[in-house]
Amino acid sequence: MTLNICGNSHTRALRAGMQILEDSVAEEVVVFPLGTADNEAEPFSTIENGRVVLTNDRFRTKLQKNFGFSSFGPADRWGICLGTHNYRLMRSEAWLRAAPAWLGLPGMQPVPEAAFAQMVAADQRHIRAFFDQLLQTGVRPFVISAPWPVRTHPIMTETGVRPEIIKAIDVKARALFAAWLAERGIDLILPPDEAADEHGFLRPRFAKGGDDHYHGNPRYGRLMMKKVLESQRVAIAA
Amino acid sequence: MKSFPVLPSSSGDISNTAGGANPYEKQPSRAFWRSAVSDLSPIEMDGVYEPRFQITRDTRISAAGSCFAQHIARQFKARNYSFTDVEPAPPFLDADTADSFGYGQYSARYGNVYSIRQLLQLFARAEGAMDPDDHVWLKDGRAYDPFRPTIQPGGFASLAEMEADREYHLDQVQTLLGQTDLFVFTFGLTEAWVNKRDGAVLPTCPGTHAGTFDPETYAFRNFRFNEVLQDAEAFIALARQHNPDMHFLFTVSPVPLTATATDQHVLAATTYSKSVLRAVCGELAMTHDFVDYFPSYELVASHPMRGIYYRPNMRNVAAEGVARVMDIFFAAHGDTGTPEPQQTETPAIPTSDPACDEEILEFFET
Repeated sequence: MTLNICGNSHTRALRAGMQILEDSVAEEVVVFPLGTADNEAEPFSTIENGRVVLTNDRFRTKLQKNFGFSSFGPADRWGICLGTHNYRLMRSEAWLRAAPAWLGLPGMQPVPEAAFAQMVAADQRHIRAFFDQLLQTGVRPFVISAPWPVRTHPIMTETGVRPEIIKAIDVKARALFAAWLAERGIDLILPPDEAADEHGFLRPRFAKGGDDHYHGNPRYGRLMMKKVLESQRVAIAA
Repeated sequence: MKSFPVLPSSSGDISNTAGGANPYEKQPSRAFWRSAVSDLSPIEMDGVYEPRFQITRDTRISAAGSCFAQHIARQFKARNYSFTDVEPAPPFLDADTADSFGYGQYSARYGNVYSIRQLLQLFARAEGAMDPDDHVWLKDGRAYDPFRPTIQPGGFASLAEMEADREYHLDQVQTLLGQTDLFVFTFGLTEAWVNKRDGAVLPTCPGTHAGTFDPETYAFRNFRFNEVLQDAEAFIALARQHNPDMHFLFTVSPVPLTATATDQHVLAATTYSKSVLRAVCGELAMTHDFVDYFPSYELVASHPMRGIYYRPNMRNVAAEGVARVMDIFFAAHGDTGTPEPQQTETPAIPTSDPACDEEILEFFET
């Protein structure tokens, strides 16, 4: 059965990685992005006639064009790259004065864990709704994480938010999302450890670079896709 | 520093009024029960409040008090007054969530402050002059701040998280009075639970929201007139050390007690509480020209209102009642506009009922 992988813009690196691996993979794996992460900030899906359809124009068009589907059905095999693009949570100047409470940074407004969990839930509400819809209609997806945060992001290099705050936000948001998925029996595939530097940021050799402070490069995509395929027991030739 | 234009006094007596057969002849219609009350429906009543000094949008306003005070704080913000909030919500919390975590209800995240003794001790703790024996209440592996037990739904994740939060909170509270021209306090109750060892006043009875009730440790107090008055005077003196021109607006919450810990009927206990608090407000206003009293209690709870502004339980104030009280307050200050949602990063104003810690007491009724 074809393995379909879609999601936000982080799927581009996965697609590039898959193109590198393509010749060594016997099964059919189709990887395409649906659109950028800003499309996740509003409701983008619903259930129609027992199947999940995308109500976001861009997402719907890309799904049809690249996968040939107008909806998600239980007979198909889906990996979804959504839910760990945590930059919406990170890129606020408010983090100059506030910090996750568990960091214990003196002089900063502590954001309690429970309040942070509410922030994450609010940020992910449309994504979580989408996954719940998939489960309701019998689709058993797995989730592919976005890369670790990129150290060169302007929220740190220009605004001056402390890197440990950004990292803590990302780690906790991923953990909360992973727990939410686990409650539903959905696996989350995290980025490979070797893609992270000693502080947990994406190693520069795996970052897209230039003006892009969000995405992984094809090298990262290859590494991540190997992990994804292994998790799905898709054989890869040596 | 903001100056307060003094308005013509309406609280003095009339014994020195010259001319006429007797002093009442010169009194306005609002001074007579028939013309001011009997002949009018409750919603027609006019002139119940005449401000003693003007509050403008430049006045830096801070607020604390029992849960009814949340309405007042919200209205100041919604009408774009200069409302001081030294502990605003962290980013990304929507309005309802921020409210449930106690952000934006008052000028800091101190939750409901039911008595002036509790207020006084809050600032003493912020200034390091008081270090209460009650440090933390643990329940189901979660940590609760005994002085803000409902501020964090489900409690803090750990003692360390609670300590960090409280340290930051008290640091912010310490800065509050220096950023205040007008302090608004809504008196709620005379009944309180205190720690016997250090006299620390707790906002809720231990063993209700969290904590464990131990009669060896905690005692019930029903504050008397002189105690409330002395505490209020002490708070005024403290506040004026930070801002010598500080003005005060006092109100009494029209929300009755959920339950009394006295042997009185809850109605009689409520009447005692409200009477003492109302009398203290009157005393303070007569003593100090920088103190004003706003009759929110009378506008909701007095018998001419026939209870129309209460919900069927005769305790919670209906939205119409809150709106009426607030309209009268702001109209008296020359502001007849309607409140607007805020355009800042501070969350919008929740429309829900205020969070009243003591309502949990209904749960314990057998």
